[in-house]
Amino acid sequence: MRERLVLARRLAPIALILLLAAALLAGPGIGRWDRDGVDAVPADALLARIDALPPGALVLVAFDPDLTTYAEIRPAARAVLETLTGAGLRVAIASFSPEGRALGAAELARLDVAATPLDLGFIPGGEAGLVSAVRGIVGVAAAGPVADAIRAGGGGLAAFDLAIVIGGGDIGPRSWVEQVRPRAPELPIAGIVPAVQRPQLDPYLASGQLAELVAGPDAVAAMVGPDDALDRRADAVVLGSLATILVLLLSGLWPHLARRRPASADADEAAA
Amino acid sequence: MNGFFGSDLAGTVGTWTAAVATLVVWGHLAGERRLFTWAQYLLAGLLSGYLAVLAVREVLMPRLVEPLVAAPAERLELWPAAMLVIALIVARHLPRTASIVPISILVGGIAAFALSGAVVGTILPQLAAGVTISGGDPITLGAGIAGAAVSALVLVAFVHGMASGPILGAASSGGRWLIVAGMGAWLGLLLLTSLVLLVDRIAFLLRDWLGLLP
Repeated sequence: MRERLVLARRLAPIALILLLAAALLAGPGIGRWDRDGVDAVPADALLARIDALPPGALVLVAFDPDLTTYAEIRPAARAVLETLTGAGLRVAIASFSPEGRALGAAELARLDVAATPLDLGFIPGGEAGLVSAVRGIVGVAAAGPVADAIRAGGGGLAAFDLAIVIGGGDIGPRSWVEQVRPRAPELPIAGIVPAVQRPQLDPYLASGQLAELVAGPDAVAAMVGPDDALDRRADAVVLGSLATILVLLLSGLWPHLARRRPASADADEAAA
Repeated sequence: MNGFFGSDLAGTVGTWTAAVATLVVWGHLAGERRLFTWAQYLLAGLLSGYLAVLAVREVLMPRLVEPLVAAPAERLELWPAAMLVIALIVARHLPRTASIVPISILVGGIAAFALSGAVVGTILPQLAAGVTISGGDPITLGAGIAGAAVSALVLVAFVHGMASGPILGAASSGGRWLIVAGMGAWLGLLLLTSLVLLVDRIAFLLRDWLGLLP
């Protein structure tokens, strides 16, 4: 009996959060999350930068998200891939991390567009790989108009007009600012990252080392545009945050509350 | 909908596998350890296999073996790389004085790139951006001064344990509190990211697996 009680106590907070999230996803929505209040400036700035590129401009998507945080930025990553391929730009995709390569290959496989991006594959070496990519990123086997255009521009990262780094892991916008920007200063670097990376990247945006930064669920929602499923998820996250804070507060207060129980309650429990 | 799985047989198998794996991992919360341990073994095995395939298929073969086989005399720069790869593979069977060479090159190279990148790409440009406060509006000026003060206090926090007076001690204590506050803010963002992932998993189960959501 006592074991069951312990298990029930242990599962109660988790069950509460799961049930709340499921109810919000399946229910009519509570509208706690206000789409009109979202700061759309970062997403609009990135989309405007893409719009301003001349037809046929070369854009590199560095696909290096983290498996554990990719779900947060997945809608923005897909939106940017579809925008780029739909805008008549010449797009290439490369990964500098094994996880990024797995996710990038999966996204390329599901991308249903006429102008498929050039797959530059996995470039090994982490930050050393980034440095080598500045000199040359196209393999000898790569063929087609996009590969030829990169070779005509020198074969390295400087051939591109824009680099969009989809980050989340060790290799991300910070690595690009540290390793690529000093070697290819003319290449604008934009980042799409989960909220947890925003504090370390905001200073790069303020100093101009990063051209654009889309970070966190709000910016992702602004990037995607009206989407009922995304709004429901945002609702669930808002309520989930409140429930988690409540659980944390209760778990912090519980020892104090338990200590103040009357002595008779302890005696009854011992007798039982 | 995560959109990775189609409605064909392969997609259905993928959806069921992902759903069962999710439930097995969540089962750990209810004390189910055996299935969770198997899930960990499965993850470790799949990851090792994936990394091995990636290394062979996308790195060693196209970037090392094939160019060397095609033109061994012209690609002289690849021979040292090939020797380093072989040395790393057989490192545990080599004498320590020999095995330490490729590992040192590997570790030293990674550290050199990271350190030089941090100095050239982060510290110097950020210092320059932080100290350029003349000619700005009062808010920018205030933000610059506040940033400099916070940076100084956090740096002073690392002198704890050394002989210090009351002023340095107070500054060090303030710096430690600022570090704690920063970590708290970071943990808050981590919580937000984790909740987004949890909601995404629940949505996957409800929509892709059970078909309860449109």
